Amino acid sequence: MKTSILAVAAVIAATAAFPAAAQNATGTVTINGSVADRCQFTLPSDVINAGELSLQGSGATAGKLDSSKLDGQTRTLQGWCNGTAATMSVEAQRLVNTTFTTTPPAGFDRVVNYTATAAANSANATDTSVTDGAGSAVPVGLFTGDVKVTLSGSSSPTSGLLVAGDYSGQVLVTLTPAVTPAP
Amino acid sequence: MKRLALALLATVALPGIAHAQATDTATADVGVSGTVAKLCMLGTPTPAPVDVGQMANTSGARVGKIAVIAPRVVTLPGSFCNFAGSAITVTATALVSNDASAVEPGFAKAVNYTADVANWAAGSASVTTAATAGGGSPTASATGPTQPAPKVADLDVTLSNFTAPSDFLLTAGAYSGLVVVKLGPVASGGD
Amino acid sequence: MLANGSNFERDSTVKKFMLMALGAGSMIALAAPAAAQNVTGTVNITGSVAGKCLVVPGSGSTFGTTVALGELADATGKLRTNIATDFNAAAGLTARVVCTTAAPTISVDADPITAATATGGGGYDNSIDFTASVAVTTTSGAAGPFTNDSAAAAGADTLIGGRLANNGSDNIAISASNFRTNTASDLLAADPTYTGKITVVIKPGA
Repeated sequence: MKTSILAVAAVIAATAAFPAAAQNATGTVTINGSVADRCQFTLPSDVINAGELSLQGSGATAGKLDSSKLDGQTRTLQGWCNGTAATMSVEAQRLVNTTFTTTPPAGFDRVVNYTATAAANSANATDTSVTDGAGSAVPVGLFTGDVKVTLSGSSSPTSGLLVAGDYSGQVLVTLTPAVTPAP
Repeated sequence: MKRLALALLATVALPGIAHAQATDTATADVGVSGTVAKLCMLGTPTPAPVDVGQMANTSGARVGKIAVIAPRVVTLPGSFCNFAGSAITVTATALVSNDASAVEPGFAKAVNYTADVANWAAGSASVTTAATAGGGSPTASATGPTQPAPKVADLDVTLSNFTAPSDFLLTAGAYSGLVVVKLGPVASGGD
Repeated sequence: MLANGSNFERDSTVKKFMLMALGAGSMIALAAPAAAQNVTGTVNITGSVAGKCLVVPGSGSTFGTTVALGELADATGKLRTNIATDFNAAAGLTARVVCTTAAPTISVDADPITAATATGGGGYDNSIDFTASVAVTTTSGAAGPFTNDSAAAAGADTLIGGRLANNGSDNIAISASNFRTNTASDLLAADPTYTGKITVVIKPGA
């Protein structure tokens, strides 16, 4: 009697082959924003009342411009620019007699000219009232703080006698944030 | 093993994302004001004082009576008013003898004259004294026309027309008179 | 001859089937015993579930969104006071995460919103700090909030305190508060690109 035994052994391993490392869930919230270039004055105006502009007394210069009334006058404004490319300019507008508005006779002036300087963040912008329009813009950059306005170099066109009346002018300081193209 | 790597990022695209455009420029102003007060000034009279000298004839038909005295001109250089509407007021006091004693009939102790301030307004300010022979009422005053614009000019004060009251004989001695020129706004007439 | 059942019982750890065939022509004396003899085959099945956390739907491993806050400064040049309101109103701040483990952990890391190029100083700030907060729903109720301030170091892995709720709704909610500059009076330096981030990592844990 022959017996053949065929033994077939099949080993089936029923193990689940998952990796040993665990799997995390990660959430990311990205936050975007922007800050536009801007300038602003927080103290935007002030007034210099210079009083009597002509020299008194009886000397040869009596009745002419007393330059000490305007030269050295200073007022401090407050402002800020939040961008590094900001610029500042100043415009000095001459003092004009608002009571006497016609052409003055020979020997008289009804206009007082002067130079205005604006200082902020170590930058200085100047302008003379002799020429219309603002002076050149200077880079002032990122700053928040004082903008100091100073008058100097006052004079009248013919150095003549000043016509009596009320005189009025103004200094305009402009802060310009830089214009950059949209990204 | 299965591993899905889907990225669940939902990007919220808001149209209002601000880019760096310039907003309005910021401008501040410092007002500057002052005044110039109304002012008139008269230049220093040149020459001053005026010495008329010998006023009576020392010979001839009119001996002892007032001579013909040439006009005298005094200049006030660089006089000015820095406003419109000014006028000259001239006040003249006749030449009156410094001797205070009363005058005898037929004698005069005063010499009248005309003071005329020109070169200010369109016409001059002119006054003629009318002192009596005894030296009474020696002072007269007049205001000239209005100058309608500020002006700087050399004023000329002309003294002329020297006469004696009633053309009497002039008593001897030193005589003195006075001309006061005032330059000022028309309304108040002062300063 | 079939092996008797006792052999099988002794060799119960050996997983095998034995087949035996009889060749043709052999003579078999079939002396079947009257009583039937049973054989028992045993198949053991084992498996495992690794600890993992997945984002549903999709079985991915990441979630999140981008919140665009726009212009960050108000009319005075300082940080807008309504930033937190805008942030928390954004879509996509919630998620549904499922973890197979009983003790998952969470870590939160907030990075300040910082200008790409502008610098601060002199009354200006170029970055905005805030506090990120993550609320988690577990099978036993609310857990957390788990917070991290952008000015502080990243938060460490913290036990959530239970299994993440698996009720079909979002169980992770992100919010933010206390947006601020270094000093209350600081102005914001101008820059077209300010970027910040909140990173939340949920791990299956032990």
